[in-house]
Formats: sequence, structure tokens, C-alpha cells
Amino acid sequence: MEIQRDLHTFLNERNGVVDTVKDFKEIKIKDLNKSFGANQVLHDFNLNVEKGEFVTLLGPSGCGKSTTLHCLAGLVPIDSGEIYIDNECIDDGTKGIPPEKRGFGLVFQNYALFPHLSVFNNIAFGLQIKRLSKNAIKEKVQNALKMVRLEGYEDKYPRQLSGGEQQRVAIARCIVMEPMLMMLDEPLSNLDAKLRIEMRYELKTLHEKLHIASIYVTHDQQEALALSDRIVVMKDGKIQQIGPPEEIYCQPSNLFVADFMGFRNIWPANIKEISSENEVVINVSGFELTIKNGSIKKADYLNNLEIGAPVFTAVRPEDIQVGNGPVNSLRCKSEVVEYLGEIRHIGALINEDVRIDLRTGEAGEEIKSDGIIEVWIPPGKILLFSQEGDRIL
Amino acid sequence: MKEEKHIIFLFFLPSIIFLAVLFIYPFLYGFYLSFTNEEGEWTLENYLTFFKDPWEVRTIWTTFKIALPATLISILLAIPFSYYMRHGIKGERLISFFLILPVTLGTVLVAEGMLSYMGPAGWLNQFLKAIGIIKEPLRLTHNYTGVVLGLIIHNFPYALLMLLGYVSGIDPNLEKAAQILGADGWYIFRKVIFPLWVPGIAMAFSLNFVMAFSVYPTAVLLGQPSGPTRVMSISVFHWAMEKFNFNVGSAIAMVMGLIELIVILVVMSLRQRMFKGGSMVGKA
Repeated sequence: MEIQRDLHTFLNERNGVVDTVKDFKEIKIKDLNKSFGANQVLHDFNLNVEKGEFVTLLGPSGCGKSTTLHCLAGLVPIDSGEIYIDNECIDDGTKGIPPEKRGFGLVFQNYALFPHLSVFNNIAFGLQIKRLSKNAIKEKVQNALKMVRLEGYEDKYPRQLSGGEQQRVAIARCIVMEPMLMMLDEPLSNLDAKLRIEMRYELKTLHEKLHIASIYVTHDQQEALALSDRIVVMKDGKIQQIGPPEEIYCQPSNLFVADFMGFRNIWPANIKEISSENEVVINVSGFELTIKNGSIKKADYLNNLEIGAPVFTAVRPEDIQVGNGPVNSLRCKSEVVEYLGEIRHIGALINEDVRIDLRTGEAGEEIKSDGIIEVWIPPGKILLFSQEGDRIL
Repeated sequence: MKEEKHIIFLFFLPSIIFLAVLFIYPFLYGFYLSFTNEEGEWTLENYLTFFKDPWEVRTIWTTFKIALPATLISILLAIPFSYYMRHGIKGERLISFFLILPVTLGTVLVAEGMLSYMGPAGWLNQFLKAIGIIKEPLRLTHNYTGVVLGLIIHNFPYALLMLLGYVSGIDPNLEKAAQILGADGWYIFRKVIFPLWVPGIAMAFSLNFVMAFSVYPTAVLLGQPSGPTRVMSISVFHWAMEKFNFNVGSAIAMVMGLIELIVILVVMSLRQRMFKGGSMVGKA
């Protein structure tokens, strides 16, 4: 990657193009608050993005992800808080550097290409404002088009392009400015499923090549996992968890993140027995589960829990095993069997109150709806949350 | 399938009848009248009557002299206002109310109001005299200025509402995108909004021009219908309703329509030249 970066710089120098990326270490957002009327959309938002890092803001619609981008871009004034590039404050709620002077790039969900300009002029738009020479502009636009694999599209107009091609032009228009920070607002949500995966791959390749610090907004956990160095999970304008994809996926810090990351089986339960600081037995309505999970140690919290205290437990469908197991064996009656190719998704009832979602591979073939299935849950795959939703085990 | 088409046609029928009875038939009848004499024989006499008389031909120039500045001023005034209002502003409903008010009152009432307001002894002149800006009252009524002003007051709301409707339909993200790419407000207006707005401006200009070109009540009430503001429609009225010669009247009306058509075609071809990207204007 380092070599590719050097090659990029080398090519630019050879072509007489001055690399305009301002050197910086990190962009810092401190205690950002933003309200629209009585509706507070961002609460004390804190985030650092390092140079070259790819950070994703993940959350359901209306959680404040896009507002965060617009605040960063300077399109929306912030109520309080500060935004820094290294030690230079670019916005503190009273005087902000206007968007056109921040050196950030933004790719819009609907691409926002200028319909009256050709692809070339769309991409050259910002360079023309910078008053670069005609040759330099041509060189840069050609490079950008090559980057997004759209050579030869210079003279087309946006309306002549497919959704995927328009998306590429929007990205080219952004990277040609060599922004310090590239922000992408749900850029793939208007594409069909197949194209979305292709473009995701290309975005990743592009980032590996250019290493532009990026903030990516999405509500799709797959996209977030595939692309990011770090994921920021948001809900109602508050950060729920920040961490690398593996951590967010495997060790959600609260019930919301767990739910969002695919822990579809979430059941209310009561503490039955605390065997040790990483082993707990709980009572879900009508059956018992043993949890043995040492990854998050909250001994204090655990010791203060009384027997019978209400908690929540969460399990991924894919962690539930079909067949007879040593512990946590359950019998359930399947209701729905969905064939999804490699796997089958089964919705079943353990008893009248508790529904269980599980996934099976080959073993699921003989499972019919209305059949009785034996399943078991490995104790290490069960998460335990307090009644408030904080992770205990 | 075929039956379905018949049913769809039936749904269109009322509007087709409406158009045929109220627009197409009167137009074709007028066209026929303009090429015939009172005995119903085909002739070019009506057109020659108009074009041979310098006094009549002059009405073309007079009408242009009134309609063109009035339209240009209305549009040029409406552009900045509607640009400012494009994302919605405070008190927009109140502003819209005051804009639509003169339209609902009708031309005659507005003209009467203007006569007393801007007349030699009207409030405006009294005020200007009182604060010492002028010594003699300004002549703002019963002349060319009066008609142009009357037309602007009457047509400005139409121009504004039409332009506003178009410009507020331009995707606001385009402005944001341009801004992030380094453009300031004036650059965004010149390079993004205006080019996308051109079709709307051309449309508003054409409709406004047609309204101004066929002016009648304003020219009669606020102008000098016998002299400097004798516009084409007055001439049509004179021939048809005073001389009872519908044939010459129709011929003049046809000339009027042709001139309007030519102006619209010129505007549309200018629009085509300025705007190549197609009319794709989408909302987010």
C-alpha cells in the first residue's frame, strides 16, 4: 500500500501536478451538539479520524449520521462543540470555516451530479474554481476517470449514465480534489443488490490505493463490516460503540448494537445462579441457559446482581447448533423454514412465549415446518445484558 | 385491449370537446374570417388594409415597445426575488397572499387604483412633493409609463410564481455539492442554478410576453389609447367592435398571434442554445 501511495505521488510529480493534500494527522470532533428546533439530533458526539482511516457511521435512519457529515462539511451550523484538523479549530459553533474552504469532499446519496454539465466538466468543476491550468485539469480528470474505470466517458451527460456510472462520476468528482477527508452519504443505497456489492469492492480498492481519510455513512451492517477500519454505531444521535468491525460484530457493548449486528434472538431472563465471574445460569421463561463468556469482565457489576434480577440475553441465529449438545439443549417446534441457498433460516417456537431464529446448513434439509427440532446453544456464544441494555457477559 | 383504448378515449372526450368548442373552433373561424370578405369570398384584402395603413402598422411597434420592457423588467425583478425565496423563507404565505391579491382583483380594479395613487394629484406625487424630491407632479398615468408600470404590477406575480416553482424544484444538493467543491454563492448561481433555470425562465418570459403583448384594459385605462399606447388589441377592438368589420379585426388578431409565436420560437431556440444538458431536474 505504501508503495502504491508513493507511485501515486510519483505520477503526480512527473505530470507536474502539485499534490495539494494538506498534511495532517487527524481530524477531531469534540462534544458536537446539534438540534433542529426541539429535536436534538446529535448529543456530545466525539470522534477522531486519522489520516488514511476509513470510518463508518452505522445506524438506523434518523440516528444523526447524515447530520454529522453535514456538520463536518460545514453545510449545517453546529450548536456547540469543536472540529479540529490537528490543532487547528475549523468550527466551534460561533465561527466556522465555510464549506468551500474546508478541503473536504462529500459524495451524496443521490450523487448530485450537475445535469447540465458533461462528465468531464462535472469532475473538473472544483479544479476550474481553483484556476488550475487547462492541461493540469485535463490530466487530473483523466486520472480520476481512470481511478473509477470510466475512461472515455468525458463527453457524456449524467442522464446518459446508469446509476452505477453516475456513482463513479460522483466519486471521481470528489477524489479529483484530493480532499483531506472524503465523506460518503449512503452512496450505495440507490443501487441494486449486485451492483452494490461490486461498487463496495471498488470503493475498498480505491481506498487501499489512495488512502484518503474517509467517513462513510450507511445503515447496512454488511457494508460497514466490509469497508471499515472502524465502525461507529449510532442511535438517536448518541454513539453506542466505536471499534473495529470484528469487535462490533462479536462483542457488542449493548443490546441495541447486538440487535443491529444480527443477534436476532433477544430474550428477557432472570439470574438463577452466578457460578463464577464468567459463568452465569439464567432463567428464560420456561428454560435455563448456562452462559460462560470471559470476554467482558464486569465482576463488580455481576457480584452486585441479585438472584432473580431481570436481565436480557442475546444469541445469533448462526450460533445455534442443531442436534444434541452437552448443555443448553432445547426442543422447539419449527414454524417457518426459509431456503436461502447455502443455508436455511428457521423460525421456531421453544414455548408459547419464546421464539427462536436459527440457521442450518446441510443438516436442515429434513427439517419441515411444524416439525420438532433438537438444538443447543454453546455457552460461550450467549451474551448477557443488564436490564438497561449494558453488556455484562 | 382495443376496447380499453376506446374507454380511455372516452375519458379524454370531455376535454377534447371543451378544447374544440372554446379554442380550436374560434381560432379556425377567426382564421377563416381573416381571409374572406363580408360576402364570404376569399381575399387578402383584410391583411392589406392593415399593412397599407402606417397608422395601423405602427401598432406593432407600439405594442413591442410596451410589452418587451414590461416583460423584461418583470422577469429581471422576479429572478432575484425567487432565487432568494427558493428554499422557503419566513412569511412566505403572507408574501404569496400579497402577490396573488392584484391577480384576484382583476386588471380594471388595479388600474383604477393606480390611477388615483399615481395620478398627478395622487398620494405618490403628493408625498414626493412634500419631501421635496420633485416640484412638478410626475406624469405616471395616461401615458406610456403608466401602461408599462401597470403591466409590471399585473405580470410580476405571475413571473415570480412561475420562476419560484421552477427554481425550487432544482435539487438543493447540487448547490451543496458545488459549495463543497469550492464555489461561492455567485459562482453557484452562474454555473449551476442559472443554467438549470434557463428553461423555466424562457417559459416564464414567453407566457409573460404573450400576456403583455395582448394587453387591452391596461393600455386603455392607464394609457393614451388614441395615440402613444394604441396597441394591437385596441386596433382589433376598433375594427371589430366599432367598425363592425370582423374580417379586418380577425386579420389583425392573426398577425398578433403570429408575432407572439415568432417571439416564443426565438426564445425557445435561445434556450436550446444555452442549455444542452437536458431538462433533468430531480429532487433528492
